[in-house]
Amino acid sequence: MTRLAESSEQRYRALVESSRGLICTHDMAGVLLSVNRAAADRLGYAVDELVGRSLGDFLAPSVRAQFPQYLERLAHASGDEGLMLVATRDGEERIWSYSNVRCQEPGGPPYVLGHAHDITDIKRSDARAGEAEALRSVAQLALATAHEINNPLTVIIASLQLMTSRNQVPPEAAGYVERAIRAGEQIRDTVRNMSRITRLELSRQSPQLPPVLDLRKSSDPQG
Amino acid sequence: MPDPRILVVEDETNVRELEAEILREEWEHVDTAVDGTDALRLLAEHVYAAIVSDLAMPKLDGRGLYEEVERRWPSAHGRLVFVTGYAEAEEYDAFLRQSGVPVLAKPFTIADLIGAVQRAFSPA
Repeated sequence: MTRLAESSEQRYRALVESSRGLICTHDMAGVLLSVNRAAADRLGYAVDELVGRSLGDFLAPSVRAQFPQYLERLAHASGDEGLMLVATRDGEERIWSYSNVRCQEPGGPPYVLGHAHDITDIKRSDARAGEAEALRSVAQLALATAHEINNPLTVIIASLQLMTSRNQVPPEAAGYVERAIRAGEQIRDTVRNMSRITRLELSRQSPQLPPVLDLRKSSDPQG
Repeated sequence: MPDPRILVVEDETNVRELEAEILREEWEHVDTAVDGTDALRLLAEHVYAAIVSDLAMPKLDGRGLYEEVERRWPSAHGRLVFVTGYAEAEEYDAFLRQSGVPVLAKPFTIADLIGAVQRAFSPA
C-alpha cells in the first residue's frame, strides 16, 4: 500500500470512528465485521464484543425473526433501508433508522455497509405529542358536553324543586320526584367532576390519559 | 329594599323562563333579556337591584355586558351575578378573577339562585 493510500485509509478510519452516526459492516450472513465506537456505545458493548457476532443478536426479541428477511432483501438488492428495533445490553429497546448498502471490492466477497441514526427520542416525542393532542381533543369534547348537559339539567332539577316547593306534587308521586332530583344531582356531580378532571389534565398538558378515569372518585372534597 | 327589580339575561329560553319563574316566587318585578344587547336596552329603562346573567351568549356576552354596565352605570356593576354552565368558565377564568363578579354554577338549586340574588342586593 502506498503512503498516499495509507493516509487515505487512516482519514477514512478516523472519520468512521469519530462519527456520531452508527456505522458497521457485516457479511452477507449478518455477521458483524466492524462496528464504530458510537454504535457500540449506543448498544452498551465494547467494539470487540460485537465483532464476530450476528447483527440479528442485537435486534429486539420481538423483531429478531425478521432478520433473515432483511438479509434476503440485501442478497437481491443493492441496499435496504428502514427502521430497526435494537436491544441494548441492559434490555432497553431503541429505534434506529438505517440505510445499508451492499458493497464489494474487487476480488473480495460482498459485504454490507450499514449506517444508522438512533431516532428513539424523536419517535417518543412524536408519540407524546400525539397523545397530548388526543387528550386535548377528549378534554375539549368533555367540556363542551358538560356545557350542553348543564343547561337542560338546570331546567330538570329546578323545575322538580319548583313543583315540590309549590306543593304541586301529589303525595303518591313525591317519592318519584325526590328520586328524580337526586338522580339529577348525581348527573350534576358527575359532570362537575368530569370537567375538573379534564381541566386539570389540560392544565398539566399531561401526555398520559389518567389510568383510571373514575368520575365518582374525584379528589375534590365536595365532589 | 322596597319593590326591587331583577333582570335575568339568558339566551337559553328554558333556562331563562325557569330562572324568571323562580325569582317571581320571591319578587314581583323580574324582567328577562335574551342576550347582553337586549339587557342594555332594559338597563337604560329601569334601575335593577340585581342582574343575573349568563356568561356565554350571542351578540353581547356576559363579559361585554359587564364592561358596558361598568362604563354606563358604574353603580350597577356590583349588582351583577353570573350564571355559568361551569365548563365555559375556563374561557372566562381571568375575567371572573379580575372582575370579582359572583358566579353561580349551573345546574343550581332554587335556594342557590335566590341566595345569589339576595347577596347581589347588598354587595360586599
